[in-house]
Amino acid sequence: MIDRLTDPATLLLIARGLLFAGAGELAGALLFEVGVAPLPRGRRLLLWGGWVTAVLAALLLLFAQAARFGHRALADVVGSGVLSITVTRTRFGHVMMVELALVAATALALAAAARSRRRASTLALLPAAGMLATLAWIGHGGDDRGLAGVVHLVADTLHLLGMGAWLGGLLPLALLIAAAERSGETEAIVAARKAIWRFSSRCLWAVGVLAGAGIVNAWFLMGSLGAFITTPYGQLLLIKIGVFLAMFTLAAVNREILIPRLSGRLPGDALARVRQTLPGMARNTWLIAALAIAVIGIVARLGTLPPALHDMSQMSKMDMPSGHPH
Amino acid sequence: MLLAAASSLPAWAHAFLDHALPKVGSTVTQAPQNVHIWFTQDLEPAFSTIQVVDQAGNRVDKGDTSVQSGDEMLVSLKSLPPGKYKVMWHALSVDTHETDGTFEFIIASQ
Repeated sequence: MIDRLTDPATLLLIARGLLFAGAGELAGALLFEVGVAPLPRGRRLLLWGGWVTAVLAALLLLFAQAARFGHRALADVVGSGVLSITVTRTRFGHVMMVELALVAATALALAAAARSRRRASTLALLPAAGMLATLAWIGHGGDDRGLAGVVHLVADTLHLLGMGAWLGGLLPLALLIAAAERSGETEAIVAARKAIWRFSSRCLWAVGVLAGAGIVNAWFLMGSLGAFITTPYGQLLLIKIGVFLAMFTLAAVNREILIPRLSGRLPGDALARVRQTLPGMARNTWLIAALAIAVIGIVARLGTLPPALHDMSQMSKMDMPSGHPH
Repeated sequence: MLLAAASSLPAWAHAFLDHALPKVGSTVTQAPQNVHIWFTQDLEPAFSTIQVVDQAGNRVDKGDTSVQSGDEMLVSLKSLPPGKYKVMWHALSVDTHETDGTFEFIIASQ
């Protein structure tokens, strides 16, 4: 069991998932504060929790990937020089240095403008979004050449940014609604309603970009519709699409059924109806956030699998000398 | 429009052998000085290698694998007598995926 956990392939999977989650949560929470509402109580934990997760995950990813490159044990990557070769002589190493520089820039921005929360979030948003976007270079988005390469990379970058903008804002929103429910004060309920309206309209864009860019990515990596069924990559992608549709359905219920019930003058007649609606909104938001964790796990795994286009079963016509992916 | 333009270009997430010199499975009459392999994607030179062995399994390359123009890997060879040789390659593409493969070529007596 311990051997399995310290296996570089398992560590890569864990590190990728945590890096997506940490960077996405951090960028999404900052965007929420800049464009939707001040972050609720627990702001420090939301931001620094995402930051610390991203830093640790980035370092783990660097070490685990170096171990994989050099076919060494994790404990041996420094002494053998494999880590230094990875950092200085591979594209992955260069990308990870950019990632760590952006991580440092995000922390500096947050610390430098600590007195003004909104200013700090505005300053930190760019490097944090950069942290998320940079991850496109270590996935399948950085694979192709020429115009195809540019289109795929742009699509993957937009997919990541869309993910951060939508999913990264779910936790702050759920906490904000929970805080309004707990306090029961009209002022908090008004603030929560305003945040829900703003977040909902911004999410339309984020989900649109996420889905559109996801379709472009699938087009580049799948090769055929049949590969959704016949390859492990396709099957996992199909599960991801299923989970995404469940999340989309919950978001649609919020937007089309629950949000209209929040309308009306506050304070006034609408207060009781808004109070009744908030628990349902909060429950759906937590559910979407929980499903988002599953999606991030799937995304981490997809990045380590050969895309359907390169699956051996799809390559039956190729001669053996062309190689085996692993 | 972008999608239409991109559709004519291949998308590779792994580096596969595109072509090689000496050609895969070929018979040549003159001993080659190098083995060249062109791949479908750019490689990481630090972690990509070619080894060439004779029928007895002895290394006949000089252990100086290098990568040129991103996607061409080559290794120089010792002076080779006629016989059958096996090329074993390991490629790490720039997007961190590994592939490996083998092929043979024959040097015929003149």
